[in-house]
Amino acid sequence: MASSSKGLPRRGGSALQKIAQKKEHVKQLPRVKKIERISMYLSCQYGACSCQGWRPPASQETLRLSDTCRSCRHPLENHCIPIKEQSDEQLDRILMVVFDMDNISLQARSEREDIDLRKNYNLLFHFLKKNMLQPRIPPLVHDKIGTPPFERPTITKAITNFVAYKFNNLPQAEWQMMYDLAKMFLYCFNHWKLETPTNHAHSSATDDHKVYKENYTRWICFCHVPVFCESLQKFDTTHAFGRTLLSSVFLVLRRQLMERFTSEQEKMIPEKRNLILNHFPRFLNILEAEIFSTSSPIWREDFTTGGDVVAAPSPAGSSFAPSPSSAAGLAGPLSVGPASVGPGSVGTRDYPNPSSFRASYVIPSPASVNVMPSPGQAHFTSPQISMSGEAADSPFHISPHQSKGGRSQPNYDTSSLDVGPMPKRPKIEGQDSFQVASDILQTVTDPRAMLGPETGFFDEQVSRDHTAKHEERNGIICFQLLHNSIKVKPHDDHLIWLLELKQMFSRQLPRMPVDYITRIVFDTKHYSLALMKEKRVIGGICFRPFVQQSFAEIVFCAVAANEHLKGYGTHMMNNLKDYCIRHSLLHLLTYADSTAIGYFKKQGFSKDIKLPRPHFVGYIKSYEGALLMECELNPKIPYTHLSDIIKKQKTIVHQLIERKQAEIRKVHPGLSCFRERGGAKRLELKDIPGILETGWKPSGEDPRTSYQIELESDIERLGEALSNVLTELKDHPISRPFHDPVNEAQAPNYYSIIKFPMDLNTVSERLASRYYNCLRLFISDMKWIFNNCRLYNEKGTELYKMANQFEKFFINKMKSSGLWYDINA
Amino acid sequence: MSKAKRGGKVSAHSSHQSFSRGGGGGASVEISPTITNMLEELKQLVKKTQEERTKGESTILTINKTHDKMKQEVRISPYFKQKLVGLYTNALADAKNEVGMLDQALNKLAEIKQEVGEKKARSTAIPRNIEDVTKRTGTMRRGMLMTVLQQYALEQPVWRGKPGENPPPLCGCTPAEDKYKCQPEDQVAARVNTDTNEDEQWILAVVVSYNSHYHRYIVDDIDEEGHIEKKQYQVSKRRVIPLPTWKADPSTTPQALFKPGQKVLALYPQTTCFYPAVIHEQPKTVEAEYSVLFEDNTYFEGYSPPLDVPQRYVLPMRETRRRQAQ
Repeated sequence: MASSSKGLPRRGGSALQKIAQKKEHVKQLPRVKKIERISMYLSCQYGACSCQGWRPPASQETLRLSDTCRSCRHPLENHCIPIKEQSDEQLDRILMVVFDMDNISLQARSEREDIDLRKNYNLLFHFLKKNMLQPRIPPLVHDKIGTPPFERPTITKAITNFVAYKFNNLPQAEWQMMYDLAKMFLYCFNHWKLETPTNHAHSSATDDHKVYKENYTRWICFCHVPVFCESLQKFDTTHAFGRTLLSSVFLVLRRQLMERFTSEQEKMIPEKRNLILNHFPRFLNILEAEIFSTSSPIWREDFTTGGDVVAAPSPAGSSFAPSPSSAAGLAGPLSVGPASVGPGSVGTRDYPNPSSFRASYVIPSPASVNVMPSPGQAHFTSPQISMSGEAADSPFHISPHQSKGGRSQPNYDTSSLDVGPMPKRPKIEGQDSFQVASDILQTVTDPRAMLGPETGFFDEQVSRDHTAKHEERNGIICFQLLHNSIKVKPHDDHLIWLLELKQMFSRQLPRMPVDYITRIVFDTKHYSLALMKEKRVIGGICFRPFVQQSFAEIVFCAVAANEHLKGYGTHMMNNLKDYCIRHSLLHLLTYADSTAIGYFKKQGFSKDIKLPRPHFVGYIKSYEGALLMECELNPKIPYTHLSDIIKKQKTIVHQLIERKQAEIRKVHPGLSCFRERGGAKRLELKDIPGILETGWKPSGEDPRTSYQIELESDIERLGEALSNVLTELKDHPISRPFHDPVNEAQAPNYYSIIKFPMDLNTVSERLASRYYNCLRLFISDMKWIFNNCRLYNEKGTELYKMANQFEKFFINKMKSSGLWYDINA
Repeated sequence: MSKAKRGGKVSAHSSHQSFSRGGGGGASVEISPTITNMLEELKQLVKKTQEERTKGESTILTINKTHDKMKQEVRISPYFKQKLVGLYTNALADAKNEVGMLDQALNKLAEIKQEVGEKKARSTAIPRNIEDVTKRTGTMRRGMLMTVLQQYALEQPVWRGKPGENPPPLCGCTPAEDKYKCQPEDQVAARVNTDTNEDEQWILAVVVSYNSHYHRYIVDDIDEEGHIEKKQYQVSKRRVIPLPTWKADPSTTPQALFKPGQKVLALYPQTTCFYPAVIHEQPKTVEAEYSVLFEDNTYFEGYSPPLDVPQRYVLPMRETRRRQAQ
């Protein structure tokens, strides 16, 4: 058999082809020859003969069953009893097993220096020998080795999660690219030869060698040897292993892959070259961060989509990655527990072999929103949007489901393989709504469909951080986590950037003393997220994480003056939020001075502090003249993608509404019940024809009190009660400006701004004409008075304040008369 | 005698810029048939221009060859003289044709811009719904305004004159004439008191009207966020500086650029205010921006680090009376 310098067949096609050729050749042998070969592994059945296997006589031209064994002197007949009667087909099958056994023993003999490895081969050899006569070789079961998958989630699943978690919100084309890269990564991993434990011990000092050795044994038995021994069941590395293996080999794998790609770049087609040399390293960097992050959601078994991530609380203080370069990735043994082995019955599953891996992945990609791809296989199960029920607990819940139509193809969907059947979700719209959603998404994400003449440019619905995100994707800006440290000398670049950051803060925050800023920025307990453009710091947030208290305090936050209004502030804060979630810091606190309050409000901060006081009192200093503000983080939300997700959700909902409307387009004749003599005075909303058909449902409870309901039935009494309130309102000194209709001479353009003018005298007239047959009408008219005033006059003006004051007075009066209820409820 | 030279290739420069920002709400505005037709015409014009150019190319080649041959001779023979005169006449005619085509293309471009501009105005004039009006009073978010201002600067036309012609007023650094009146909707720099407590500031504003009796403008602050009504100011003519109408092309009209070291008023990046600054570097191409140093005494040197400002927002310095008094 073909063997490379190390004795192992190269995984390239040629070696495998040779094996296949030889097998073909062996199959062509005459029956008796076949029997002979198999008999070599069959013990002699003659009496109490202890001979283990047939040895052909020294020189033999033609072989007969009566020939005697060289070692025990009994004829071949006695050796071949179990197979003598087998059909040719069966014989061929057993022959193949024998052929594989030959290969393995050859292999074992070539592994002289590594005893453990030889043991592995021997183990496989004996396993095959034991089972060679079985009609089917059972899956290898061994107490020490276990059965795949050895760990959950598997690497395939984790990478799937990773793509879903990190890239779901990218535009279609970019998502596709990341998806392809993920696929490529898995493919390469499956065809990559693991380092031997000895080599591994040399290359990485920190790992647990025992664990690696164990994994290596497993890999040999389930992934490596089966490639050339078809009688053994083959597993893909990425399907069999999980986090432990990936984290122990990632750095080596990455280095070797990149070296190989770089050396082979001349041969690649340009597109592929671009993909691999430009994007693959970036992909690997992002992946690295997730692999070595203790709280990354991609390793969660119950991971479903990018949105549905609950960060596991990491052991306090364990994992605050100081900076990307200072060993965040290399440091620390990750929780390498005993690999969790799933309960049996796993081995019988069919795993895709490498060739099907290459199969085309036709995805009618709606995927760029929140649909989880399954890189392992070609067919993409149609995702479904759950619109209710479950949707409540996770607003971004779109997950793949098996399609209704049964597919003849075995389902290799990794998510269902590794996690078991997905929990059933209530179907609301089912397939249809998915169809709609995917249609819509295709339009939204298709650049051609959305390309109008310059309209996009002036589109006011563009989110604040849109430009910033775009720039980050194109590499114009990037983020850098900076941190000064005494234990590990920070990178020189980082120190320079910290200095630049300090300069930027002191320029943008002139009221802060420079030495104070310097002290904080270079303090080892403080971290800074710096925004970089052309290798210069143009913005940053300096914060201090309190890991055990699970909050972070923002100390400084600024963007260089000439880079304002580009959405950098929002994007920076969102990045910080995502970062904090990754490190289980679920509250952001800050003392905002008067100029910063507006910014923090836009970023979701409020002065309403949700974190219990004992958690932060004594930990952070309070400042005179500054307002403590807090933003509570929801670990289910990927903040940097939030605006995109919401925008897409909005689009989908709008389109769904439009389609629904198109379906039930129907014109009802106008209401006539009011026109008719002695007609109805009042009509419930639900009684208007067509209202219920649109899906509108009357709210369950009547917000009115029984007194109010009773009052409304008697228009005389209602009028009286309202009239009393109105008189009091008019008598109030503050009511002056609201008595009469607004004169446009005094208030220019009033009626072009105010479309529904109202005033107290008009209300009086309406009351007199018995217009108010229910409280709702009266209250809403009054509300127009206040709202109009606040709309036309600027905040802070005298009139604006008067409207507020007068409204309060009105509500109080109504309440004291028992007439108030919230008409919007 | 120098050799004949030519510029680079004609490219369909910015015939229809496309913006990759995704539109919102799935609503894309259709390109009207007129615009599509105009774009098609423009394409044809650009193609024809290139044809003209290729035609002229051979003449120029012959001219250059003739020059080379002539160099080898000791004395210039009348034959060559004659030949060159003929060739140059031809080349000149070719060039004129080409210029004619380019002119036509540029005019078409202007037409398209106008058409698109009108469409835009029409579509933005209608408020989408009452909720929008009440909630946001139809104003543009500041960040968006900045992008739009950048876009205006990018779209500003370049002045093209006949050879030897001097750039007109409001081209590059050339100031407006004294009697110049800004038209309504023109963008200007206006010196106003934005806040009673603060010093006066040069702000970017839009002209509403002009009172020729009192020589006063009424202008709107271009930054309208946070106001229900636009902030309006009445300012005397002296306190208004029009923005340049044309960009100056550094390769053809360098005299219409501010010189390094010259004091100017420049729009501080990402704001709507003009501040005194000193020209650091001139733009090298039509698309490039000035690099200026803003006066800023928080810096040790008294100036900010160099910042880029487009030609449209760099104006000649105008000392106000109050400043002079100081």
